[in-house]
Amino acid sequence: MSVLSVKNLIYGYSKGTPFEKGALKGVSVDFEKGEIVALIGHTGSGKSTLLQHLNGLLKPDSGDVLFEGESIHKSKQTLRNCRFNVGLCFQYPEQQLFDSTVYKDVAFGPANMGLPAEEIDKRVKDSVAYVGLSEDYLEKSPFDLSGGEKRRVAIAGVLSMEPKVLILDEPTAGLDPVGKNNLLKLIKDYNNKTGNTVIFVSHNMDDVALVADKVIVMNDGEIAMEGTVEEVYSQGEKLAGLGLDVPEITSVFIELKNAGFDLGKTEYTVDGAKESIIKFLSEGGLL
Amino acid sequence: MIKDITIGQYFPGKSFIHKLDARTKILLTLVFLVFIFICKNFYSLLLVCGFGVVVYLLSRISPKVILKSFKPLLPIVILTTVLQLYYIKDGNLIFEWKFISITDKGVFTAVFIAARILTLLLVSSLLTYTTSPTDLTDAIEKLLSPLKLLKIEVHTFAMMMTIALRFIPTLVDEIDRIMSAQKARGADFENGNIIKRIKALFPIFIPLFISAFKRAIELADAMSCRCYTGGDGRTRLRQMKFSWRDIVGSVVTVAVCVGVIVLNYFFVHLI
Repeated sequence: MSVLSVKNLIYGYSKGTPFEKGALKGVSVDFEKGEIVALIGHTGSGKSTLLQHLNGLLKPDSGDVLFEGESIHKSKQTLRNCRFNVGLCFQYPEQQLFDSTVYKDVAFGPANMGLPAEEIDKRVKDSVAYVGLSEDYLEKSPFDLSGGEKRRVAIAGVLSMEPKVLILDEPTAGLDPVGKNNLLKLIKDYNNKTGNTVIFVSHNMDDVALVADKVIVMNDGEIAMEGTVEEVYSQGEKLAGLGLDVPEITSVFIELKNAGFDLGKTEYTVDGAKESIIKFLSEGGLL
Repeated sequence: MIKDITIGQYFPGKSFIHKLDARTKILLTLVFLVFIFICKNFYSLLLVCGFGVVVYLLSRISPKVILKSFKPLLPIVILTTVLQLYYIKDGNLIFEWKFISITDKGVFTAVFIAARILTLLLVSSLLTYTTSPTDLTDAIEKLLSPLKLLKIEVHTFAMMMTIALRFIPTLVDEIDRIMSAQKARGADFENGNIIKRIKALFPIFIPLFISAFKRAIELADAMSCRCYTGGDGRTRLRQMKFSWRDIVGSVVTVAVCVGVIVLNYFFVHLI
């Protein structure tokens, strides 16, 4: 059984006003336990709207969201249960920090869950350590930290609820290359260690190739493509048609094809590209 | 929820009312609001309400928008109406049941006051519905410019107003976003007693203030970078000009005002 599944979701913004527009036009997708799913699509394709349905922040006009097989909108209880089990971390999460110390801010989620004090203490310390911050940070004010550290504190604030599904909206936006790589590593580690599902939105196709098991491409409120990294990236032309960047090496391959060199399937990693160019050249007797 | 507020919003259009100069609109609205309270009898009230409705029809604003703006004030209108009905005891008795007695004068006064409040609301919301915030502040700056003689910084005041108006939608979006983020961490804004609910606002307002201050500093820097030094010697891309519309509008409004005074004078005995 899928841990989280979305059934034929339809949702429109600003209903009944001249500003009405459809944000989701019938989206169905299943998220399996333990996988890392990347959600890509250009701005306004409905990614963020979909994410906000996954933990019940938005209520669909029609369709349903099932957490462990049960509709999350069945009762107040199921909705609350879903909020805690599906941890959603918004874009630029550091902007939601509010408390006087890192400890108190990270404890906000677990405290809302009504956990006992010792459990909260343990979870706060664990999750802060998890995002790579030492115990010295616990008593600091979150507003004195650097941008990357703030981001990690904010993510710790979601991790401390120990959600079965972790959702991150563009977690690497605005981070420097080191901070970005650390965060991607953290996503992978978290998934390996806990076996929990991770869903993240990204614009960077190289990041996606690095960590994701499955890729979902959204366009104009619908799922345009879905599959493994190989399956999606191999259709470079289609991706480009959806206004998305393909990895650089893939665009090289598309150009080669246009210039009359048919190298067979389109590659998406540098290593794969090397192999297939060597193969092509030796077959043609050019090497 | 928070996005349903329409008061102060601007609905672009090309109607006669939209095209009036903002200065004319502000002045005429003020005069008109005063005259709503000057009318003493049903004839003058009818004239004032009728004029309000005509102005509204000219503006071609959708009735849905107007009804929406009436909604939050409806309880106040109903409350005052009921109080008038209950408390006015003179005049001819038309209904009596236990301690409740309603007189014809009570009914008259109640209807009178309800009509006044609704017209007031209609006309004052029309001002912002049909005038863009920039025009509005430009006009206020122009109208207040005589105060410069008293060493009051009219331009700074107008600029502050423009910026404040400009950032209302931005802040509304921001509140929405922060609320969603805290809800995702299990924050509860709907349940609990008053102290609990006030406490629940901290996780919203602290991040909101922090980002508002940050934004203010950035905006100030951006303005300095573009050599903003205040109002002295500043010229405008769009000059405000009076047109024939302003003359027509003023003449009609003044005529209505004169009408109110005349009607008040001739029909003193009615209420």
